[in-house]
Amino acid sequence: RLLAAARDRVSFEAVVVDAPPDLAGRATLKTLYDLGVPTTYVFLHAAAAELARASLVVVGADAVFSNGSVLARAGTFAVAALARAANVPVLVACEAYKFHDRVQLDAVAANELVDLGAVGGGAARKRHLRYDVTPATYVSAIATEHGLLPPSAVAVLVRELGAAEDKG
Amino acid sequence: TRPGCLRGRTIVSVDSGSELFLRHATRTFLEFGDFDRCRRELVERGRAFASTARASRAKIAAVGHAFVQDGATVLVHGASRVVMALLARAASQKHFSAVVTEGRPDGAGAGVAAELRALGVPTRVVLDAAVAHHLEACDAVFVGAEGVMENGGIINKIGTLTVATCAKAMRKPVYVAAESYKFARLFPLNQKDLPEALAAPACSETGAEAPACDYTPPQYIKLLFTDLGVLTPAAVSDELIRLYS
Repeated sequence: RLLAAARDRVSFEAVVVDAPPDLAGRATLKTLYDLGVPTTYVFLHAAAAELARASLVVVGADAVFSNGSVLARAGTFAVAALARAANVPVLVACEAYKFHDRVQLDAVAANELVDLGAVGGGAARKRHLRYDVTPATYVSAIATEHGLLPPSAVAVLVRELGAAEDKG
Repeated sequence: TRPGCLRGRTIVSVDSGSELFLRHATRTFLEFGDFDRCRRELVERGRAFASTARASRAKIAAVGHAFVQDGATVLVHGASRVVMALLARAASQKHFSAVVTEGRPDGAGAGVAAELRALGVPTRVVLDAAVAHHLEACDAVFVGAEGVMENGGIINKIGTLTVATCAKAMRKPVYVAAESYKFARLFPLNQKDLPEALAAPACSETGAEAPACDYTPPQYIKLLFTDLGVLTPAAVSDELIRLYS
């Protein structure tokens, strides 16, 4: 929806970075194609070159913690790190209900493990963490329905929204 | 071209100040049956807001002057009256010296230096290009702001980002003195996100161009001295959420 709104105001190009096994980026690619936005589609391991010529990175989130770090689909941290190395701002677009009062410092403390089946003739199982945590320092701004926030303001918004709930 | 009453400053603070005034004036009960009473109430609130705004400079000087240490050398960029009030207050209580940037293209540095010398502060004016060279011998940087951004960064006279970047590299603190009505609902992610009005270039007599202002991100700023107290850049968004909600 963000992309559709932007499309009405400015003309831009997009690069969709996708990663197996989910390949959720295909849906994003279709949306962009339908909007008529010139789009490039790459896998994560080939994203470095694309990031060097990007002017903005936009990602979604599954949760944002009180220290400003972002829980999102695995691979998000990698994209954010590449963006930082290329001095490209990272915008996290997510609704305020995803803000959590918990603080998580790494991706291992709490996560989901996806089992992708046996490999090596049953000798091992292929597993993959569904989410990763992007530290607050890699995030330039978080876009919520309450406006743009710096990652340091997440705890403030959680507090204000909590206070509003208690009153109402 | 900007109206003369702005005296070379930008509209950012007028914008944010007006927005905050509107919220302040209409925040509490206004449903008086009598229109005259309502009008008087609004005028009263307007006057209160204006006098608070005027008193901010003294408040900022009161909280900020302690950060000018006895025997220190401060670097000043831009011609902020808030910074001048702060340094004047510091000069009345301790000895320090100042290095002032020339401040091209408007060359405001000379005026600032004259004011500081009148206060008895030994002052040198340096080329904008020589800031990095002189920062070594300085202890802190003081700048004002045209606008304070949602993330704690600032929009200020062109050259502020240069000074701040050098200061960060040399581990010198950058202090910003700004009234709270300058807190704007703006969130630039980089230099090209500056509002249109500020992006217009100000040319020097040699034809060299630059926009009137640049954006200094929060990581280059140590502390902001405001009438709400001494704030870290992260605390600015906390205050903004409160001011605008």
